[in-house]
Amino acid sequence: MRPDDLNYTKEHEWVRSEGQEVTVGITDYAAEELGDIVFIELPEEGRSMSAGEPMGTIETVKAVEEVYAPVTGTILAVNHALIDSPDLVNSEPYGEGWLVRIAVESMEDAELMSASDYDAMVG
Amino acid sequence: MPVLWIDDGVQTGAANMARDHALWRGCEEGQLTAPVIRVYQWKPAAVSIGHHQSTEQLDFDALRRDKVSVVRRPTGGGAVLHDEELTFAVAAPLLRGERRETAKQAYAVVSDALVATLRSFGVDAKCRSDGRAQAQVCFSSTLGHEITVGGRKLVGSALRRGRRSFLIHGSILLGDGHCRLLEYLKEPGVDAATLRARCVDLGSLGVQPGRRDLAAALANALTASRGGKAVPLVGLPACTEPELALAKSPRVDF
Repeated sequence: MRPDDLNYTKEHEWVRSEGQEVTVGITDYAAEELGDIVFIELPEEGRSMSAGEPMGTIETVKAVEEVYAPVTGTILAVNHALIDSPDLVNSEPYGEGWLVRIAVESMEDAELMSASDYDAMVG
Repeated sequence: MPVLWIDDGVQTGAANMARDHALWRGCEEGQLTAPVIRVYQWKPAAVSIGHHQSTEQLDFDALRRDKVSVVRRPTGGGAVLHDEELTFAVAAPLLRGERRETAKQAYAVVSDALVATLRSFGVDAKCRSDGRAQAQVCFSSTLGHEITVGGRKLVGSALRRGRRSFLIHGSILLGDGHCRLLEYLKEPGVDAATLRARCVDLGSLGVQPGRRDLAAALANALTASRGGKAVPLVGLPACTEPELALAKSPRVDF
């Protein structure tokens, strides 16, 4: 069972809401499917993002995958620990492997689902 | 759904990567709604590195000495010297809707078609079921879904996946010219004898398919698994400046 205090996206990201901020990562399902992550490219802090906009890439040994902003807002912080240790996303996807924190400007275009709905989607 | 294919001739490295990037963007943005196979070669020979691969490993003095350019792929994976090979790109919309094909599933679709294609040319190709990569030199190790003959790697591959589509690159070896890559890396992590022992090429197997034959056969093999028919593609989407700039980003000044 995945953390039920989080919301999830079709693009296999999780979103933790704390007031007007959200923390974003990728799910254990995505991390498992991706395999060993060797590089993560994240947006600059201060950048404005629209929900659904590509905000970075995750590279495994053989593949590059896009990561999308789940909400509209401004990048408050990126997880700099991932520069040296991208494998944290594999080992602790819901903890030390978080990707970015976003100051939310709008949830209007966000397409979020509950843990149970996400569980049903990935089967 | 048709599968489109094109023999795109011989191009520079930057043009090749920008054209593939444009194909993938066309699928990602919805202008291309059918899978497209582009088969091409490189002139002059060039090194390509993975999307995030560092240039620090490259021996730029040696590259300048031999006038070998370096390009950055939109896909992942390790370095390849593209010489004596047939290269293909498959750009395809994802077909599974909200449950997008995973990278492994996308690889599996293309690898199955590639095995069928190579067997139609008389090559006893097999799809590797597992393996771990030595990331720096693509042909020094074989991963799951990569193609081998007699346990030796024949086709190197790399992938990029977006929300709506994927792009897979494949290099089918025709000769052992790719082994010169080791001359352009500071610490390749593998020696030439080991690299040669781990790879096989179609030339040594007595098979030399043309670009057009490969493109058409691969398209036909893909239709076998996905339905539809193979149709020659006339014209490619135009490349954008950012796509060309990304391809040229590991710049080598001669």
